[in-house]
Amino acid sequence: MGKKGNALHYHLMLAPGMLFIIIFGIIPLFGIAIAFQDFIPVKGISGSKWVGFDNFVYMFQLDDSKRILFNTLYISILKMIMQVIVPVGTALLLHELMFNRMKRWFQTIIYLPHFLSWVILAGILTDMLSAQGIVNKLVKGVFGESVFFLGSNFWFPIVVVLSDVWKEFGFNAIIFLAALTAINPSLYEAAEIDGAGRLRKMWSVTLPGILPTIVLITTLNIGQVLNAGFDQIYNLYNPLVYQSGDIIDTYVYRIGLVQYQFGLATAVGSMKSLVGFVLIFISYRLAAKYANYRIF
Amino acid sequence: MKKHRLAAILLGSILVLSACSNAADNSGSNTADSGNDGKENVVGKQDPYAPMAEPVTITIGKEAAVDPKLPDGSTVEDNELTRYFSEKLNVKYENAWQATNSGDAYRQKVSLSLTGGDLPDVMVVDKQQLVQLVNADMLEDLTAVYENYVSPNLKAAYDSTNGYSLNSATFDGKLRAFPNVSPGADAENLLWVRQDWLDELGLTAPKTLDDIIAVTKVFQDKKGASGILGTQQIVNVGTSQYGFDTIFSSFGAYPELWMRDEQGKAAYGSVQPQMKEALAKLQSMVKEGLIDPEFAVKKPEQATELVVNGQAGIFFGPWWLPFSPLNDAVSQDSKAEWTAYLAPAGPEGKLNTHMGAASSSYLVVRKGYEHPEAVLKTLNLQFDVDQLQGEGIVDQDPYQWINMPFSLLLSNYDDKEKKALAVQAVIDGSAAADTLQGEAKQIYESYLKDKETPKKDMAAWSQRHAFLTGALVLAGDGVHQEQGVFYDQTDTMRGKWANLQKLEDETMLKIIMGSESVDYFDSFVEKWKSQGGDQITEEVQAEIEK
Repeated sequence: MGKKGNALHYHLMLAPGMLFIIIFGIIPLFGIAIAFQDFIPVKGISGSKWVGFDNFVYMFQLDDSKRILFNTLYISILKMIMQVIVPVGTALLLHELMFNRMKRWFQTIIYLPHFLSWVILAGILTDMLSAQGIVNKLVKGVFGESVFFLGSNFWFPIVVVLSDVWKEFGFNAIIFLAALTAINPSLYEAAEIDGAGRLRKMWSVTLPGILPTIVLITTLNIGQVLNAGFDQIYNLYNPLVYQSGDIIDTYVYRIGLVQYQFGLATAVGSMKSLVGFVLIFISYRLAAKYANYRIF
Repeated sequence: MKKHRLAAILLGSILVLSACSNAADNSGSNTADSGNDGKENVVGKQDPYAPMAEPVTITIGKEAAVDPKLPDGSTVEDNELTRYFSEKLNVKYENAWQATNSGDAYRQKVSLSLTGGDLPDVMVVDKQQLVQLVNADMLEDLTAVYENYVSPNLKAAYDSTNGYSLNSATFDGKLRAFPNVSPGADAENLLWVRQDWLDELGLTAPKTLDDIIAVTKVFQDKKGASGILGTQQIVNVGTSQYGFDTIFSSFGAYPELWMRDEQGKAAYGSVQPQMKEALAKLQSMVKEGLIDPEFAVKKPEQATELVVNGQAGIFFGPWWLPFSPLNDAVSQDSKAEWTAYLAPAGPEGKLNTHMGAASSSYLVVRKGYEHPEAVLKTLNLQFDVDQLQGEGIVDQDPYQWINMPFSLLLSNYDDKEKKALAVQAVIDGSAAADTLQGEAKQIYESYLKDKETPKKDMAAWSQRHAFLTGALVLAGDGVHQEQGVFYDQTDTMRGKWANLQKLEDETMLKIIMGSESVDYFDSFVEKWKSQGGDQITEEVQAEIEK
């Protein structure tokens, strides 16, 4: 009796979350029907004509679909890798800092950009990366020639990835810093007694200590792999770099919202969700196998 | 002024007139029967301004200004303007909902009420939404209402577009909405030049593209100015600040415009052979540094920065630039003088320019609404009130057309030129000042005020120069206006246009920037045609033959 009662109130605590998911996550799923329709908003889902897989067929016929998919994956995988390496490195370095006050100082400074929107940052970046901008002054000083960062198909993805890392690494490092504090100090003492130096301690105690967190974060990120960052790219790109910068989201925005092509936009969007689902499924299995990490 | 224009473009309002069996029954009858305004037999011409016999309510899907700036006691729904209309026409205006004209807020709200099937009596929609509503048969037939109730002034405004406006709202011979009329001047680009620099350096006014290039070079050398400004959006039919539109059209090329070729067939401007010469010229201008090579990554705000900082002395833009950003530039540097020129001239010596669609938003009336005539009467009055700029009606509130019951922009197609000419006639002494009314009178007052104390009252400076520097030069016969034959979307466009447009934007920029040769244009045309362009051209051809 008592046991059952306990379980019940735990379940009740779940209710708000479940409700949230049902209302905002599950009910809207029916909207995917639009992907199989020649959708006309006035007629609604029930009144629009069904066209089977036409939208999907057209999507794959589009000249650009391969390029857009490639761009999306290329940019987001690069981002994903960088967003693990840089924050982990930052966390480790901060962890090694002796002075707490300095540590907090650094932390505050590096996570500030997280709170700025891409609309603002894009303005700042375009200025910084322009021919007269501060970056190009440096580049010119060293290499003698300025670089057209935002107009070059080689540089654009790199700018996107690096600026994203710059914006988020401080914030992402917080999680790893938190994980670091959870490492049992006696392990360090033991390592010291065994004669380990700083680097050795970092390698053999700290890193394994936060490995589960790294795996968890990476796993969660993989589900987002097709979100290469609409806000950022939309604010930074221009027709010159469509070739290397157009991602699924910006493309869907242009065909869906600008051209009122809701059916096609939904088809592309749901394809994205499907791929995301498959990826998260795979990565979860990998995480379970190699890092013994399980949610359920 | 810029806000008005933007609002007019963004807004779509749906006027839903009720099925009104009598209107349909009587649409064929034109005999005057003025003595009878009983609802059963509305026949023939009626007094376009008569109040409704019974109090009538219209619910509105309302577009409102982001910051309506109304005094205490006034709201978007209940202000001096709406009270005036209510009193005059015996109509009560209720806002079913309101959404701001910033970004997509209003359009999204309209889309929502479309999907929900819950239409207010009237609202403003865009062309695509109009077509959807017509296809779903959710709109009132307004043909008879228009014939019987339109005021001479409003009719003249609709007629000033040579039938374009009403045709664009007519489906199978039935008028399904009241279109807006935006001034044709909005789409025409002038060359704006720092006149004080020209004078100081002893340069003559630029006329041809070569003159423009020469002036730009001197400005760069002597004034350290940037080259001709540009943005990512090199061409934009309708309005394009900092666009290269007129450079293209000086070569007889009209990118992004559907026009007729020599055989009278539909042709898309961007794929015509004239484009090549223009692109080659632009490419060489970028190479010479006359156009900032980074224009391709710039957004309008970034170009505007250069204007306001006084780093730009020559660029293209519409007549209203004195309202923004030139007023800011002059506030920064009171020595600055700006003049607008009809340049570059084409081979015939005239400025070639494309024209935008006269109508792009539509007031629709819900099918089944009982008093469509009350809607048209409101519009009749709105047009007149706007021509008077609210004179004699508003005194506490600042006059803003968007505070009227329906946010539909109505003006004559040649509104700006006409007003500029009227004011200039008074200044020249060939007309009396008391002939001026409404906005024209305001312009004249601004002119006097700014002449007395130059650049002290920036609002007056802006109005004076927008009209008497900008719009006035458009009024002469120095302009060749190329009217598009088609501004809508065909079926195939719905599927393939995004792709073609991407191809076009990419190609144009790459050629101008020099990363592709001018000959690349030929392969672009081929690609464009095979990826749906030919099919779309045929559809447009079919549309314009209708």
